[in-house]
Amino acid sequence: MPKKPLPPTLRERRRYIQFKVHSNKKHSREEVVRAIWKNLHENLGTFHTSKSSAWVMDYDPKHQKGILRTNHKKQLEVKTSLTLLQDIKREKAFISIEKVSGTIKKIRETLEK
Amino acid sequence: MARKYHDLLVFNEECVEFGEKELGYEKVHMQDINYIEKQLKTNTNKVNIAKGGDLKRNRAAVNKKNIDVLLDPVEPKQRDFDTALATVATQKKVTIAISLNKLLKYQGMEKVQYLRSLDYLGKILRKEGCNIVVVSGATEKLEMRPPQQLATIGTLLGIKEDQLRDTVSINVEKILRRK
Repeated sequence: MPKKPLPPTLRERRRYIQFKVHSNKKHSREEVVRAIWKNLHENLGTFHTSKSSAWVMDYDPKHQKGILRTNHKKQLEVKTSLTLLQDIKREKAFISIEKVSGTIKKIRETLEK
Repeated sequence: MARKYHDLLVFNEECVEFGEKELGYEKVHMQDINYIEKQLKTNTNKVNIAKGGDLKRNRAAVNKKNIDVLLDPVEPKQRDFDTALATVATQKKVTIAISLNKLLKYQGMEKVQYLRSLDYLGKILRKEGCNIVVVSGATEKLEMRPPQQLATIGTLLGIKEDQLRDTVSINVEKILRRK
């Protein structure tokens, strides 16, 4: 018997954060993902990172832009944590949040522009 | 009317240009700031920002005439800022500022202790109704953050989400209007 999905009232509301990496050097997807996870883990801890449902969806290494998915409840905490990120693979860097949307379609449209 | 964002304290010309052109600040202040670390010599034509940290410096800065901002009044293991100082600061219209640059310097246990000190500071400031501002204190452009992100540091002081952006806009304009 196939698994039933969660009813809409119990499903978490997602927020998609379009971010840009500012650094003197261009970083690969793996480096950026690792840096974000390390940063979230350091600032929010294991428990709150799991509650945030954070996930790096897309990342374009050429333009250094990406999309981070998170939970609507932990959105502010994730943003604060990203503000405190100061290096990627020991190279000084910071992440700026360009846009936040409830749908991935809108974010992808602005990312393609 | 669109909000105008200000970064009240940077230490490099490069940061001024980067902040105003790339990050969306209305103005990044450097030339019109008098940053005081040791002796409290004020300049009436500039915004006087005094560095805090211990009880003696905090008390001197809050009681001195013409000091507009007290920066970083607490340390990881030192919470030399009490309700009495907060009351005097509110009466004398001294704004309390915290800098992102100082927070980024700490790691591990020291960072945890500093965040606890900020939480303690936030409770006092909110109770007494002090004007609170967040600054970057950047020494190079990669230490700067966009204004909305800089404002999220206010959550460490317990500021509510709808009031966060005031810490980098309206609250800074209150100081500038007096000059």
